[in-house]
Amino acid sequence: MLHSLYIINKAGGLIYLKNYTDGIATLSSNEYLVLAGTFHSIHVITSKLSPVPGSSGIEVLEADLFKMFCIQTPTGTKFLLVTDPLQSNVDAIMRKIYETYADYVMKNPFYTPEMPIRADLFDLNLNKIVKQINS
Amino acid sequence: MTVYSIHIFNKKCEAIYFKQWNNAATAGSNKTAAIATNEPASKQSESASDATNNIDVDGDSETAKLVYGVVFSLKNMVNKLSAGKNSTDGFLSYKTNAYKLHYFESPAGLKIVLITDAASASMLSVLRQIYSSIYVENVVKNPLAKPNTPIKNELFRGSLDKYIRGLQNFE
Repeated sequence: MLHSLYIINKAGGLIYLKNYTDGIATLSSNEYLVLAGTFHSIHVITSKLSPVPGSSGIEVLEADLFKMFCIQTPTGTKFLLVTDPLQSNVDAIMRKIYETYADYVMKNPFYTPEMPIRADLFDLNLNKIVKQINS
Repeated sequence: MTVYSIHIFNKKCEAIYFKQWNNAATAGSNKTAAIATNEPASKQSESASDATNNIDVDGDSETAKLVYGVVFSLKNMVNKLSAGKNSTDGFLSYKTNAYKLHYFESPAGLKIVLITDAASASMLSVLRQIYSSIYVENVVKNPLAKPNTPIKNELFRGSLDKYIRGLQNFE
């Protein structure tokens, strides 16, 4: 079950937000911005905290209600996927979402990089992926 | 599988215990050394003795603060996202490609943070065990231990060290 998807740009701003279920609480838009900013800073600190050299930032966060998966693209954009704790195969889902992002956001000539994402085709294709998993 | 370190914080956010195993490098240790050399000589010796007094409380205070900050923010974030749902434990752990941080909080606000390698399974039961049969038995039930102060109790230290070294994924 996929609960939510957040996309954070390289400066820590929230550029895409979508909730698919009501499995986790919905926040106000202001709180979501704070959440994105906080996560962005924590991501940096966690890589510095490592007991062994060369750690990445936080990749998976586990709570009793959900798991949050984070992947960072080489350009610094972060994809945050909130799923059910028992969801399997998240890497493959992440890859699909990233492909969708590349196809319908990055290849969109009207999209300005690092700005909030408003693309109907992106929404549409994401919904298809999510529907497949959540149904 | 490896256990790297343990941090214990009291309800007032102060580090009260720290220990590391398996030659874990502390992130901020070089930084504190650099700061110390910039201070005047008198202060330097003072802070050096402070550092040796505190080394078994918070390792080096920079790292302890960072760990506390990360755990505190993640806990808040998780609580916000689980508001109104019936969540019992909240934040449990996070993982990077090099290590995994496990978190446990007692009802009284004592926080135990355990850092292991990334492949480690859930250590929730281990943390519960540390709390209930090592902390409670040796610190809470100790009439001479002041609550919420650094744990200097040899019995606690000894049994914790023994317990951690006895874990099947210690090394």
